[in-house]
Amino acid sequence: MSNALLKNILGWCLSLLLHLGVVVAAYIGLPYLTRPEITPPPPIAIEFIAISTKTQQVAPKVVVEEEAAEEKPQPKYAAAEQPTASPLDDAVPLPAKAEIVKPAPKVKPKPQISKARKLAQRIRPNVKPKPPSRFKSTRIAALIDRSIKEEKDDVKKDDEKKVKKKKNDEKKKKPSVFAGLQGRMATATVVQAFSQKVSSCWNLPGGAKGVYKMTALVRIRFRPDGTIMGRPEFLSGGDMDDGFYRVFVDTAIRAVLTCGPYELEAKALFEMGNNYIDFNFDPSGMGLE
Amino acid sequence: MTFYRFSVAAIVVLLFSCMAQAQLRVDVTQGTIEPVPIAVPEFAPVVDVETSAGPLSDIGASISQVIVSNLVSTGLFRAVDENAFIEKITAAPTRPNFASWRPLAVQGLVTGRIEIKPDGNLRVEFRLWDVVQEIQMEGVGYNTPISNWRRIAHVISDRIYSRLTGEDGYFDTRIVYIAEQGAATARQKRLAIMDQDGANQQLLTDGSYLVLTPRFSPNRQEITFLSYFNDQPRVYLFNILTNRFEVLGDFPSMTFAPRFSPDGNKVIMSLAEEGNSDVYVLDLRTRKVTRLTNDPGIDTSPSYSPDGSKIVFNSDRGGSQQLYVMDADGSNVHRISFGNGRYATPVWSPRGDLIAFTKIGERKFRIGVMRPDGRGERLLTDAYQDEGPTWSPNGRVLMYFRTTRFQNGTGGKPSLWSVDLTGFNERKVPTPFDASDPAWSPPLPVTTKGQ
Repeated sequence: MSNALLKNILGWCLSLLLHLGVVVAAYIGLPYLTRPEITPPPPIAIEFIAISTKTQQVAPKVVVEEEAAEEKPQPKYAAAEQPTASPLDDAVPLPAKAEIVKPAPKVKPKPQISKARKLAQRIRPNVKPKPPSRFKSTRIAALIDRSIKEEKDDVKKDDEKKVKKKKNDEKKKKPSVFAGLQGRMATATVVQAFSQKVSSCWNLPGGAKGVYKMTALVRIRFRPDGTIMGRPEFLSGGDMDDGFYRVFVDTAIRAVLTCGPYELEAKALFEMGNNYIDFNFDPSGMGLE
Repeated sequence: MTFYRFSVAAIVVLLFSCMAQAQLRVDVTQGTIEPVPIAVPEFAPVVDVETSAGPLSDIGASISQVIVSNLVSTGLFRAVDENAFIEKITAAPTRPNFASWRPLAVQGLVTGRIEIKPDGNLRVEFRLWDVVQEIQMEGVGYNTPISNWRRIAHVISDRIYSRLTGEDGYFDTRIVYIAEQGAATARQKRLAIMDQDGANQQLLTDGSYLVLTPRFSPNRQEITFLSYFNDQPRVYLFNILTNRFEVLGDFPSMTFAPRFSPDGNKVIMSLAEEGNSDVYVLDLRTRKVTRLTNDPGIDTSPSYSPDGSKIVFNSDRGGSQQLYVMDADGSNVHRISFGNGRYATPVWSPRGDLIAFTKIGERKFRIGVMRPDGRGERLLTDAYQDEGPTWSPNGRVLMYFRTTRFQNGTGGKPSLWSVDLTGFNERKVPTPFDASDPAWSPPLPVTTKGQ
């Protein structure tokens, strides 16, 4: 292959990379270069039909005998009776479960302490006595010898540790058969963490018609610090012209915005190579029907 | 050629690297249902001037109070204490400082400005802000006579409620009911009307004749009711806007519980002949009466479904008083209630998904709801005597009257109560007299410009 052709290919590669870089930079950066001043939209003018003057009149005040209002506690659902379990007439009793006998733990014999020693322990002062000094000037040589021996022992132990660590590292380097499973478990943990956090911030429109049947898929993009990038994006789920559904989606978006920032969760997400996540809001299991 | 191959390879690699990024999806299947925190600062006057209804600033404060009262009364909203407000809202049409409202956990912020126009009318503008998303959700302006400020507050409450819940509001509505006075042996019963929050009480009849079972037209400001004028039962039609009474029919036999069809063109009722009561329908345009049921049992309290295709009524044809549903022409009659006790005064929800009723049993009268097929029966109240339910126009709230137990010479007096469809938020409706048999109006008419 000639040098000219090689240079040509390299040039094309460089050009392609630079172009890609420009596209990526524009995609990420451009929306934030200019933040236009948002002015509120003008209000809609509405005029009333005048209603009869008679209906504007107020009835003459009458002395009212006030009665103590019979207020009662708020929840008034017809309380369903709790199911109670009772054995059937023709039921055959199950065989008694065999008890698993655990071996009794070995009890270490307590050292026998004499009465005099117990008494001495009781009257012992609370302050821990200092041990007598073991330094004897006549035995310095022996101490030096011992320190050399101990040093040798330490070196031996260190070597053993290093060998063990090396073995462990080698084990780690080998592809584990559970690696995929561990990855999935990590993903499941992140998903669960997001789910738990957002659930606590989701205030559903209670009593809205058909709310138990609604679902909404909302995409959130994160910055590395866990803050939300841009506005949450409604992907799918229902008809936004339906007032009930629009309010349902509003509550979903408010939930993810209120619960932020997501520092730890976003960090884990970025480690998995993602910067966005889709939230599927589905209250069908909440018993709202 | 080489470049072409390289480009294709690069694009393929890029695509695969994008696809390799696993798409994570989080299922959020649990949440809470709590009142939404809202803040409604006083509506700021552009120029604080004296008006026929007081200083403009006082009107602004009153409007915000009425809005708060309306929204909180639903049980779906919680008002944030105004003493905690950090930002003072002015009449300038600017965005609020959301950072000042976020620490108060406010989700919906209502700001408003009011001014007197050169023609002497009041102009009220309001904006509803989503503090979390930092967006304006609603912005509406109204022109009206100053004396109408309270109604404006109700209309604004409806807009806010509608935007935050997804269903129509019911604050700009009225209740017609029977105002009762006097001893039990000489009870005076008069037709009365009030705003849904108990304001603007008026008496429509003078009490010289007995008035019973008032019912609102579902789409017009008209009431039908039964009256014993000169001891003759007559079904009347009363137009609230024109204050005109009209006799619908002078029925020789006993007449009960007249109620409008959903299109307002018919009135369905029960007529009793020789001790047997059946369901009849009166066409208001042709004045023709058609018999719908023909059974030896007592059939009464008919109510149309919102699409007008079905009718629910109660009948003792099966031995005890139960609920039955039939087609609008009287065919295909089938029983829907099978619980213990008796069922009375069924009313079909304007949403169409539920039927409210009075359940009689266990020595109590209680208000309950069930689906039109009879499934999912739920009792919403549990007092000594609750009866006569009426639905709010959005099918979210039920109003009924409660009579206390008569003991030791006291009690036995009726009053109006309301309860949310979920069975929570039971409230007493203030009335100056004893009150029974409420009927909820449709929303009052509003004309719109620029929509």
